[in-house]
Amino acid sequence: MKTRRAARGLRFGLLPLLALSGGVLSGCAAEGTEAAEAAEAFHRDVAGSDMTAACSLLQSKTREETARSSDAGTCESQLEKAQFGDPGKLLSTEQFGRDAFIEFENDTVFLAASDAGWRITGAGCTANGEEAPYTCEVGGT
Amino acid sequence: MKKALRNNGLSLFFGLIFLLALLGQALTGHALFNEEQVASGLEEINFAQYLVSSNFAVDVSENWQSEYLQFLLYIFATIWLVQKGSPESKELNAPGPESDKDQLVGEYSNAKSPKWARVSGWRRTLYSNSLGLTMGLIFVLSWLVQSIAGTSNYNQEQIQNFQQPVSWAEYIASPEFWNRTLQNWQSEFLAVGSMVVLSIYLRQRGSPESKPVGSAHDDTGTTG
Repeated sequence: MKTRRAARGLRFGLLPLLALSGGVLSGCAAEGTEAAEAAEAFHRDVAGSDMTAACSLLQSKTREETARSSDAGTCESQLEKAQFGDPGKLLSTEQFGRDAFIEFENDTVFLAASDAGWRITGAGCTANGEEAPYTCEVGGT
Repeated sequence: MKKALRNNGLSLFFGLIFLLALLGQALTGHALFNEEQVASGLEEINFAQYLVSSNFAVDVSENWQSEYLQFLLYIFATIWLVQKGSPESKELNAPGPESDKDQLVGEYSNAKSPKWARVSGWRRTLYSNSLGLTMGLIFVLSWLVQSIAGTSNYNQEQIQNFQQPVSWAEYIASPEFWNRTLQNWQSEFLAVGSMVVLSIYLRQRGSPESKPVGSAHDDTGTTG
């Protein structure tokens, strides 16, 4: 009858669920800054040409794909080739659960939480209209 | 103890199968969530993390809101609308809130009537509508939870797909929110409508949801 993961339920305290769902959104601000710090650290490493450190901030699948797309077969060499400008000032941090979206004046960074901390899944990203996915220098679609 | 179990069998049975089904939903939802995480190259989460995730909250609340809406509509619609032959309907000549005498309130109340049915004023008005109001409140809260948790869950998918997150206001105007909502509503409305119509012609011996087996098809408002 219901195509999504569905179950029927009655009788349970709704207020805890309401508080929980509010927390899902509002409780994210503090942790969101950790995601922003990871994005800022990535840009700092790239600007300082410390590509090993920058690559360590990429999510593992993103790092592997970055290395694969490089002629030299390493993540570091691909980051050197990528066109990263000055990201400018941090404008906003939005975190939802284990995913974060960070906007700088001149860049947008996508991140995912891991046991080791926040890791970048897309950096150097630019918008392609309202609904379309961003195009990223590193990671992305 | 045995008597208490027997006297509360219906609520205990549904309370138990509710908890079992919710646990089953949580376990399978957690497994499915992690399958999708792995497929996206993301890390898995533990069961406790899943229980407080927006993914679980939206899946639970979207079903709750539709169930409570179903009962809310049924409670109010059956005040005014009747269905000839259905045990779910009142007698055909009794639409409306009925008289104080029929409802055993005020001067027509008896010694066992609830206190707020005996008094007049706002307390009687509130108590006279307490079932519908409570169902309505739970419906509104569940729908609100669905919209908040749904925004978070939707935005996680957006970010994983390298798309821009949306605001709560944008989410409640989105096809995702209304699709989740309406797919639940349509099934509830169908189930209630089916019950009203099928119970005109079909019987379930011993169930108060059915007419007595030998009742005529056009008998209205009788239960077996």
